[in-house]
Amino acid sequence: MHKIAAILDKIDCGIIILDEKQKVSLWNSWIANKSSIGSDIATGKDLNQIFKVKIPARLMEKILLVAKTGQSCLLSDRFNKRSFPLYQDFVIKEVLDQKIKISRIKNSKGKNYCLIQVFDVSDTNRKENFLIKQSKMVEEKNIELERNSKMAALGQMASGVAHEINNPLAILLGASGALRRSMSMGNLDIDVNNKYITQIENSVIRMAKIVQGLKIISRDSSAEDFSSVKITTLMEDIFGVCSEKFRIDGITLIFDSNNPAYDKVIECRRVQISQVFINLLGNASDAIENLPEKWIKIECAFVKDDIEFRITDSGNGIPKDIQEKIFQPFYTTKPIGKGTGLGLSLSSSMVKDHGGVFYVDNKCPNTCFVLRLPIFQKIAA
Amino acid sequence: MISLTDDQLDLLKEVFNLGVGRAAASLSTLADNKYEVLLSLPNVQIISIAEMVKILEVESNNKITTVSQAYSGSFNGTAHMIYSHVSSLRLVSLMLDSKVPEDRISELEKDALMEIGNVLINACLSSLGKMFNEEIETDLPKIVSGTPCAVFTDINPNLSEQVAFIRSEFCIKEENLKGYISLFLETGNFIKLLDLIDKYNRELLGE
Repeated sequence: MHKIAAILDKIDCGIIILDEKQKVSLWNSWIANKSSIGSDIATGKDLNQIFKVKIPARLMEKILLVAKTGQSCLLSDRFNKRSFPLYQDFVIKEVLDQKIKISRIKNSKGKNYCLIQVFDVSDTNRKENFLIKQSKMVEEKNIELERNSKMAALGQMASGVAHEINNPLAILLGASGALRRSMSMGNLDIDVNNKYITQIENSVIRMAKIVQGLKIISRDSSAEDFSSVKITTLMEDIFGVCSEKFRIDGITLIFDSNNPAYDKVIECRRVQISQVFINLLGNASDAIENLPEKWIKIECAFVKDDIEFRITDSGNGIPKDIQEKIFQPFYTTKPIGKGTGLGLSLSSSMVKDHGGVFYVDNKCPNTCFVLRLPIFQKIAA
Repeated sequence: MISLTDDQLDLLKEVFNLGVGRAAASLSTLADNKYEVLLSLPNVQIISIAEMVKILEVESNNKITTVSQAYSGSFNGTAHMIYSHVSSLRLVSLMLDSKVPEDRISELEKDALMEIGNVLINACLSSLGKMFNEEIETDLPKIVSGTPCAVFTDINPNLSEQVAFIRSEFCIKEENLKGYISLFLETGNFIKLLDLIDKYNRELLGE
């Protein structure tokens, strides 16, 4: 018994052994240190006599239950915030967070004893609280970064957007002037006047689409729900913002508008998917701006229950050694100040949120990104 | 192959119903009475571990956490409380008021899961012991996570062994949350358990 007591004194957790009458028969050094009550004082006494404060009722009940039934019990720190009055520091007097295990043991003479093991989980608790706090901060930062990256992508397109609006404005001004002249000259030819009115209407519709695209893409997408969107509508959002930049940069956009796949509807977060496309198209146009041949092709096809988009540009592909890295946050090949290094990493996480996949197709001789999205979203369990 | 008569099964259901009822009250207390945990009349099946694994694979998204406690007395074995990652873990995070996502259980959450399992297992075994007037002692709980197949192969590689698979539906009205609490008793000494059931039935009938 002395040998065992000596061993128990070296153990890094609290050990209390109670005899059949619930009196302390062993009180190891750990408990003595943390309670500042020596083994000589504690031995032979009830737990409630030893501590100056009352021991929580649930803990006492469990101890009695174990002694009576032999059914071992565990009291976790999560459910039992108040346990033994044990302290790390007797000046600050902050009660240790404890996990307590209680079980019944028999001695060689068949007598029952109750073994109470006390573990200090304060450090683990502190670490976990710190981690929770950190992960909350990371989450908040990510939302902010997503917003910044979206604005950066829109910024890249801004000059194009200005032109995009300027052109129909010029047409609008021209057509309304022509209409006024025609009418002031007493020309009431319906066909001629209608031609001007149609030009005015088309310009207004074109501008409305650009504004619609801008509104959609700059919207806060963090709380956006899935909705059914026609693929043509998605493309209109995207082209409204990009096409003028492509025209200015001399990039040909290859896109088969007669493809029946574009009439289909998919369940997606419209803002997020538009943003993924804007990022990809922005990257593509940056990558090919100095090449003699400049084109970007968008293809779309159904593959089983998914829809697959292939966005190919006239570039020569992405070297294998950096393919992994481009999906990592803050990795960019663009000059300082031009890229945030977040576009592809955010796009990739948005596609994952949709249950889709996003990768570089190495079989293609040009640079080709494949974006595959499920047509329907599974209802979460 | 062990099969139970209807009388034997009814008696087991009754025993576990008492245990589960007591456990529900203790769980509500654990949750500071913020939520009332309701547990339905349990369903008891005698099936092989392999069959049980199949049931759990389908409904747990192939990921479970079990809390196990060995028990001893007039019959020995291990009792396991099974948490599927679909709904039971939400129950726990509700009870804990935890902000931690259910798929990332931390060390201390594991202790809390063990405590809930401990409450349930002890309550069920107590009512079993009380009914037969036998003392059933239990060891401290242990926790294992993984796919049902990996977890049970680890617990008992003999997948054809028969176990008593007890399930009860739980419900928290306030949160509109429903799910299963599953428990199984692995008993190397099933015959002894059946003897006790028969003895009890005979005494009840005054034979």
